Amino acid sequence: MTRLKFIHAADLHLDSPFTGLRTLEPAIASALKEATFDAYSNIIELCISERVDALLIAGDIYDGDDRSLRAQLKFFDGLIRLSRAGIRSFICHGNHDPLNGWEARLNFPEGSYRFGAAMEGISVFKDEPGRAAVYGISYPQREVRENLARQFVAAGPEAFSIGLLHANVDNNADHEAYAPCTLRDLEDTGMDYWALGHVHTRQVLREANPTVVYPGNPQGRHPNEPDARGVYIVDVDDAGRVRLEFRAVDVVRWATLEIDISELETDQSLFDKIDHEIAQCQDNADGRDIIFRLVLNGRGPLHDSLRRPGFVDDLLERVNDTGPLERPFLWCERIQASTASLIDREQQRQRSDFVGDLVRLCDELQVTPDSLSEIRENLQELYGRGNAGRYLRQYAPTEDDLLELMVSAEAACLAELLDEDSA
Amino acid sequence: MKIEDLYIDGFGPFAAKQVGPFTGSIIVIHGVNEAGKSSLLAFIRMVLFGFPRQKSSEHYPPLAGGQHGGRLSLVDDAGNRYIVERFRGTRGGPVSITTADGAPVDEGNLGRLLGGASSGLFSNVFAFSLDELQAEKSLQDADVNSQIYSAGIGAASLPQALRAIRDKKNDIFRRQGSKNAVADLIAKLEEVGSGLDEAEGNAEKYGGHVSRLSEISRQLGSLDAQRAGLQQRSGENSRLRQGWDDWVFLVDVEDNLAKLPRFDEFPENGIVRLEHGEDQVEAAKREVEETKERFKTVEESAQAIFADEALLNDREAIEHIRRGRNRFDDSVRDLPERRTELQSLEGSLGERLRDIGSDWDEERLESFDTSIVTRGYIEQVRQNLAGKDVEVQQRTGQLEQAKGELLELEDGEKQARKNAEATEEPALDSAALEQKRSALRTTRTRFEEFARLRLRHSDLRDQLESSTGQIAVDGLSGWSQGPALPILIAVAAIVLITVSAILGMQTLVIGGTAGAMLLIVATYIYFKAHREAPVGASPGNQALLNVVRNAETEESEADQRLREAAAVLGFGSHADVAPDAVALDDAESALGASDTALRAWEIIQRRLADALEARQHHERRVENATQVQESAQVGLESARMEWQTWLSGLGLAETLTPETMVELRGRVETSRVALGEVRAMRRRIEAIEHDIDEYRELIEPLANTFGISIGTEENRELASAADALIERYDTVRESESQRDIARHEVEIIGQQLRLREERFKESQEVVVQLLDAGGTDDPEEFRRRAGQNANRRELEQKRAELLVRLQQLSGPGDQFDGFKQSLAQASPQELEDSSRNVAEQIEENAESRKALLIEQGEVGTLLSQLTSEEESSALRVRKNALMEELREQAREWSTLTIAEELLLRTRMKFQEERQPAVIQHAQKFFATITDQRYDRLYSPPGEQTLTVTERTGARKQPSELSRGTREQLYLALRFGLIREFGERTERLPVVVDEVLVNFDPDRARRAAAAFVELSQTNQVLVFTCHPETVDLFTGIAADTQVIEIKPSE
Repeated sequence: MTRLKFIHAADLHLDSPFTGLRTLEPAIASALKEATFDAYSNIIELCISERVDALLIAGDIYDGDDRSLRAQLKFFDGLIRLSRAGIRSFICHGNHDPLNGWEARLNFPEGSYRFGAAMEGISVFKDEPGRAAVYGISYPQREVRENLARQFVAAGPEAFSIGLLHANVDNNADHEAYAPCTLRDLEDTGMDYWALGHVHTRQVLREANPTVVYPGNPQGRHPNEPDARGVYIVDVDDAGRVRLEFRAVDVVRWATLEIDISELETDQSLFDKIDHEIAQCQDNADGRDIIFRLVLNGRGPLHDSLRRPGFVDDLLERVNDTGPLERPFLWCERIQASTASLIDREQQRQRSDFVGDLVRLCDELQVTPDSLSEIRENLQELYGRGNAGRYLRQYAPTEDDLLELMVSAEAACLAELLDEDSA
Repeated sequence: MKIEDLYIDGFGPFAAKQVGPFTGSIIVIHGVNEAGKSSLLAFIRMVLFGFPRQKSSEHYPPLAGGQHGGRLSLVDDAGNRYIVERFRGTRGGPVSITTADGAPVDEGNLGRLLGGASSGLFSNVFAFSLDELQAEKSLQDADVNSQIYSAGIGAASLPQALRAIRDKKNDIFRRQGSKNAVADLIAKLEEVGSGLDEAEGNAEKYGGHVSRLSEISRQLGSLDAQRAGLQQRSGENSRLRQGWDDWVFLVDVEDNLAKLPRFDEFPENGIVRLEHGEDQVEAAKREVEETKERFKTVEESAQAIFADEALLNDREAIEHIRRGRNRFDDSVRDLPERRTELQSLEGSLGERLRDIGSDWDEERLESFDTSIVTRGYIEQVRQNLAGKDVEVQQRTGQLEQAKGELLELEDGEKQARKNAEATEEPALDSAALEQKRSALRTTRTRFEEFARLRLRHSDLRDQLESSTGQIAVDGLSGWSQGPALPILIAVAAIVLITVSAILGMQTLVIGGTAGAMLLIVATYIYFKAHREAPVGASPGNQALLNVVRNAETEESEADQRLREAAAVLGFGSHADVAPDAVALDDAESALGASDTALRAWEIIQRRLADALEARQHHERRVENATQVQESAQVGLESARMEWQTWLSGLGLAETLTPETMVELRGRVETSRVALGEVRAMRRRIEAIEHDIDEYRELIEPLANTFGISIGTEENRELASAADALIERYDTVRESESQRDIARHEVEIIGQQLRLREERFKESQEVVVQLLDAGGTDDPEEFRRRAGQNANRRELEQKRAELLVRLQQLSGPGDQFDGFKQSLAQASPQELEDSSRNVAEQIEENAESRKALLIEQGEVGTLLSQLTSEEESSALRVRKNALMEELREQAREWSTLTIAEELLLRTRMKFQEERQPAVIQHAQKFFATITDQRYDRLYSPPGEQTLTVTERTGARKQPSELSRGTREQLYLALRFGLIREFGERTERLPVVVDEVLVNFDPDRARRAAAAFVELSQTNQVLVFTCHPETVDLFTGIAADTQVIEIKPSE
């Protein structure tokens, strides 16, 4: 028999823009603008259709500085719908939407509870306090470096205890180390279920005793957040056993289509391959909108075509030229040409001339990163100074970036030098 | 690589020109001005590198003819020989490379032969003229420059590459520039940032607006309550004011009602009904009078009498005259025309009769037989006569033909008879011949039997002789050998003689002679055999001897049977020997000849008989033909007689033939048609005349009766009388018709009169009843009472309406009573004042409310805008897109910046490590040429400049040198490049045109020595027009090859 049924969501990032997109068709931009709201709306509808007892949202409802009034109103609108349906909602805030962030004066509806800066526990069922309780804490400000998990203590074993927290467990390198803690810390709290937020890729860190779950964000917002996104429906039986079911609620799906040009001889063969990959991608999207990035790599004769001025732009136009926009849409946001020509680098390296010297110099630089300091200094002209620096400082190339750039730079040099030679 | 020789097909002044072979390491080509030295230099460049694509003015067109181009014979450093041939064409002109023996070589090998040198490098460094030596810019050619300062083998495009990368980089970002992609993006980002800052204040605005909305709602509530009270008061005032006039009116109505009497059941609409009744009575009375007047008038018409009424009794006759009237006119008009037509027809008929015969008239024409029987008879006679005529002609022709054939047959018979008489009858007839053939077959059979038995006998005798050793037994050998051969010969002789005798005298002589000789031979053989015959037989062979004897006997018997059969053939049975095979063949031949002769004789005889029979048969045919022809002639004559007899019977001329008779008959029939027309016309005229007479008989009695005269011009007067009669009759008919109508009207109007009189009485009765209902018999009194009653009704209705209207304003029951009470107590002025006061208060309330509502709307709109505000979302999307673009551009810029750095670092490294080679070579040459005055050249790494250092230590830039020295510096630089180039790849030939002319003699000599030194590694071709230059080179290097070229060549 079901003791408790709730939906665990996190990282809504409502009204946050999609990142990594350079140019967008107005119609696509409009659809993307609504995507996080639509995904949130799907969560609310799922709560109602599944008749859950509560919705738990583990932080980052908004996207920090970009928290818009519209986002707040839409969020509250969802809570009101839940309240009317008799579904409770529990919210904590994370690094993107700390308590000190500006917000509109809106009243939480009945049955909805927002945790404050101090940990506290709230019964899910007011008339049955011993059945289940949610413990939670919100970030008072963006930067929370202390281990908040240690503040969590379950009141007793009789109630099913849920910890609601926005935190980085076991130092996930892909995310900021806010409210850092370890899995062991979580185990020690006596919680039966940890409803976590912060990591955008869903993962079940522990199946049981306690169950520790990141549901991921319900809507991918950039190329690095591909595949299905959603929430967990958590079903707890009388014995306290947890059954998890993932449900996708995203409306726009991200994909990266990689094509190796090595085997492709003609422009037409490239077009055909792209069409084929797109068709496959559509098959996997369950009728959702798709935004994809086309990555062309490999070494082959088509590299010369791809280097031609305007070719990639034309190709992008061709890929996106599918007539008036219809839902679900399929949109290529970028073509990333990381191909190489048929020039045999090793052969070039063996040359005793300028070209050979160039290639060998690159090799030397790759293995002696210290020598890159001068280059790094040159790049500061853009990344570190003036107006451009204000925007780009945080994106200044790392050492790995520099090595990667070096490869591209070498290819650019060879293309110029050898092109002329062959001309 | 060296040039061995060159062949110019057509180029500048040369055509089909061979230059070379170049055998020396240094070749001086000497020629006066315009001999074509520059053309040769250009020729070498163009064959190796192609015709300049853009500068067609430097193509040296083939002025002396030939195809524009030619070939070079080359030998590479490894000693391989090639022929490079190029003619002007697209893309520099097509080039072909072959080995010395003509095998094609891939075009790519030319690049290898040229050591990868570009056209610019070769033209400026290896093959140059004085002009190019003097032109400093020739060394600033991108390629040469690169060669000098980067010694840039493999990096020819370095300057362009650097420039391209810098250009791209600057397009993306340049610190000092504002027109670059990054600057554009930042400007857009700033703009988006401002928009977002604005959006951030939205939450505070939202709170303020919500508070204000709440306050406005509260104030509006208060105003609404106040307005409700005022509106209630206003309503009451309004209702009292609305009801005031009605109230005053009601009081007045009730006063008036109290003054009026009450009539119960007074007729509704009494006055109207009374007046209507009186109008009805008046109208009915008027109708009765009018009807009576009309009845009187119609009755008079119905009794009217009129003239000529008696004509009505002759209605049928008049109608007959009316129907025949038109026909009478037609007849009168038609008669003269028909008479004229009859005359014409009769004239035509007369002519036709005269054409047939003078004795022909209408009667004969009518009685002439033209029946089908007659026509058939004429046709039959015509066919019969024609048939018989033809038959006579045919029979006569047949008779003539038969006679001719008889003559031919008589000639044939004579010829046959003559042949028969010339042929003898053969001796043997058919039976005899068949008998002899049978005998011959028997003889042949018996001869074969005899020959078989004789052979058997001979075999047995041979066996006996071999067993005894003797040749024969007595009697036997003498017979066996002695008589056999002579007998055969004798038989043959006899047969020969016999056959010869059968065949005739001539053959008998020859056959007899041969037979006699054969008989003599047979006799001799026989006797000789008998003389030599042995005697005695051995007893041991007795059995065999018996068998031999039996065989001998059988042979003898067979011989006898042969002879008997041969006797029939004419061989004598007594002959000494039986006939042999030859004799039998001869006999068969003789029989064949007899058979042939017999057949020929029989044929001739048969032909004679046939000819005789044919003649006799034909003689009978001629007789028959004669009889038939005569019979046909008689038939023809008989038919003609019969025809003439028939014509006579009809009274016609006997000379008429059936054909003319047919024509005659045709004319008779045509004339009969004309006769028919004449008679038809006569009948028609008679009919017209009859019609006119009949019409007259119809009119005349009536005309006389009614006094209408008929004049002398009968027909016209008759027509007038008819018309008068018809007219008078029609007038009488019209009068009668009118009288009948009047009589019918009398009846109808009589009925109408009765009806209207009844209606008049009824209307009078209605008026009387109405007055009774009003309680009076006086119409005027009735009218007065009706007026009072109507006035009361109207006041009562008005009072009811007023009460309803007042109740609508107040409401029912107590409210209405209160309302009436208020009205009774109120005055108009009081009501006016109260209403004005309340209205003012309401207006104030409405204005306050309106202001609040406007504000509420405005705040609501602002809130709605804030709630549905999407601009910040759009701005964030835009900001992200711009940031992504910025990062992308930054990354591209970084790539280009690093690429530039890589190129610069590599170039630095390259210059540091490799430049000395070029500079050091050049420095050595320059020091040699200047006799060590300038002993150092220097090019700082990374800088494309050159400095020369004097022995004294003074440094100079090239521009500071004298012209000659500067030329020597550039020459030395070229030497340096040539040497450095050759150290790492193919050593190309050096071709110079008058490069020493500006050098002083000493430096010219030293420069020539430098050329000679260079010629140790590279082939050197020197073009000059100066004999002293030739001497200079030959003086320094004895193996210098001098080639003279002349303008005429």
